[in-house]
Amino acid sequence: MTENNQIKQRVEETLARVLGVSPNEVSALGMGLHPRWDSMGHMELIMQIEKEFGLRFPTYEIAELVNPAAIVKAVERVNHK
Amino acid sequence: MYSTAELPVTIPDELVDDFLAKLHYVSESLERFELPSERNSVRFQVTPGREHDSSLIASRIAEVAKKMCDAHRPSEAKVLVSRKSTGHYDLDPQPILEREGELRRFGQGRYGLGPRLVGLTTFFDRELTRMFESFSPEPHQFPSLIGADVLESCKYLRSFPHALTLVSHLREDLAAVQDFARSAKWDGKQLLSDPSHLSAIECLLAPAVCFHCFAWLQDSRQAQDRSFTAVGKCFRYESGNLEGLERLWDFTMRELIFVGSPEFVLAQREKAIAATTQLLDEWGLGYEIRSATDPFFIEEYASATFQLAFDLKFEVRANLPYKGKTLAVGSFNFHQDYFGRSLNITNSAGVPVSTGCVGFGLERLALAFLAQHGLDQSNWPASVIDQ
Repeated sequence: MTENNQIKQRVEETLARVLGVSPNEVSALGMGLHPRWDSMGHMELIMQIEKEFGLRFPTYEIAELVNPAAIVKAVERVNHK
Repeated sequence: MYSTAELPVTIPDELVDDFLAKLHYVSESLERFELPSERNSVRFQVTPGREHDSSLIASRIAEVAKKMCDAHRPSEAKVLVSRKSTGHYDLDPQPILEREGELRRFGQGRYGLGPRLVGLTTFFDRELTRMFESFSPEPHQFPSLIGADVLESCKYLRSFPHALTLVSHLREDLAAVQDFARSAKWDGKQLLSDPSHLSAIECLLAPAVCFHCFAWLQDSRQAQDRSFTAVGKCFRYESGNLEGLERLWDFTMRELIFVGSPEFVLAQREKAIAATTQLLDEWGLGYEIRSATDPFFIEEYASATFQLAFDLKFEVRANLPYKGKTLAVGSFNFHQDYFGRSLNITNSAGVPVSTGCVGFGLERLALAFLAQHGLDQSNWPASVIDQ
C-alpha cells in the first residue's frame, strides 16, 4: 500500500469512527451531508484527524476540509512539508 | 496567601483575555487570580477558610488551559474597516454619569439609565432602525423570556452554559406559596428560601433577540428570503467579568435578522457592514470592524476556531480611550444553516434555510460615544447634536 493510500485509509477510518458509519460509506459524505457532520461536529472531526496524524491545520484551511478527499489532500500536503 | 496552578501549556498571547474570563467560573472559592508574564502558571487566592479547595481549583485551572489551548488555532484577525475618532475625550464617563445622577448601579451587571443616557440610546436605536429600512425588515416584538426547549434545540445550553440566566417561580402548591411568603428573607447577599418550593426550569431570560425570531419560524417552510428587526432585552451572566456599562448582565440589543438562501444572507450582511460604516462615521466614532468569535464555554471552544475559519462573525469594536482598549458594540453574524437545521426551517424545496443577524448593544454604543466625545454636547458631532 502506498503512503497516500495509507493516509486515505486512516482518514476514512477516523471519519467513520467519529460519524458512526462504515469506512466504505465515508467517501460519499461531506459537511452538511451527515447529521453529525454539521458546524459543531466539523471541529470535533478535524481535531480527531489532527490527533490521528499528529498535526494541526491552520485556521484558514479548516473551512476547506469539508469532504474526505479534501482532508486526505490536506494531510498529504502537511506530511510532505 | 497565594497558591499556584501550574499549567500544562503556555497560554498564547491572543488567548489570554479569553482564558482569564473563563477562570471566573472555576470555583466560588476563587477570589483573585493573575497570569504571570511567562503565561505557564496562574497565581490565585481563595476565600479565607476555603484553603482546602486550593488543589481542586489548581487542577480545574489547568483543565481550562488545556481544553482551550487544544481547541485554539493561531490566526490573524481580518480587519474590514478601521477609523479614527473625531473626538478628543479620554476620561471614563461612567463615574461622572453616576455623580450627576445619570447612571445608577443596582447590582452586579444591573444599571439604570437617566435622561441623558436614555436620550442617546433612543437616538441610536432610531438611527439604526432608519438604516435598517433599506433592508425592508418586518418589525417584531418578542418577550424577554425564552423557552428552554428553543435554547436546547439550538445547543445554546451546551455552548454557553456559563452565561445562562435561568428563570423559576413558586410551584403551584398552596403550602409552598404560604411558606415562602412567611419565610423568604433577604440576607444582604441573597434571597433565602426553601429551594424545594421552586418550580422546574421552563424558561430562561433570552441571551439574544434573534433566537425568538427563529423560534417563531420553527417547523415552517419559507418560500422567499425575509428580513426582520426587533429590539429587546438580552441577558448574559458573565460573573466577575461584568463591569459597568461595558459588560452588563441585562442589556438592550437592536437586531436585524436575515432568513433565506446563503447568498441572500451573505449579501445582506455585506450591505449591513457598508451601511453601518457610513452611520458610525457620521457619529465620528473611532472603531474597527474585524473578525471575531463568540465566548463559547471550554468544552465547545473549538467552535470559536470554526467561526474564524468560515468568516462567520465580524464585530464593530469601538475605541474606549480611557482604557486604551476596544469594546464590541455590534456584530455581523452568518449562522450558515445552523438554525434552519436546528429548528426545522426550510425553503420551499425542503432544504434548511441559512440565517444571519446584525446586532447592536445600545448601552455599549452610548458608552463608546461618550467615552470618545465626552458629556459636553457642544463637542459632539453635528449629526448627533442636531437630533
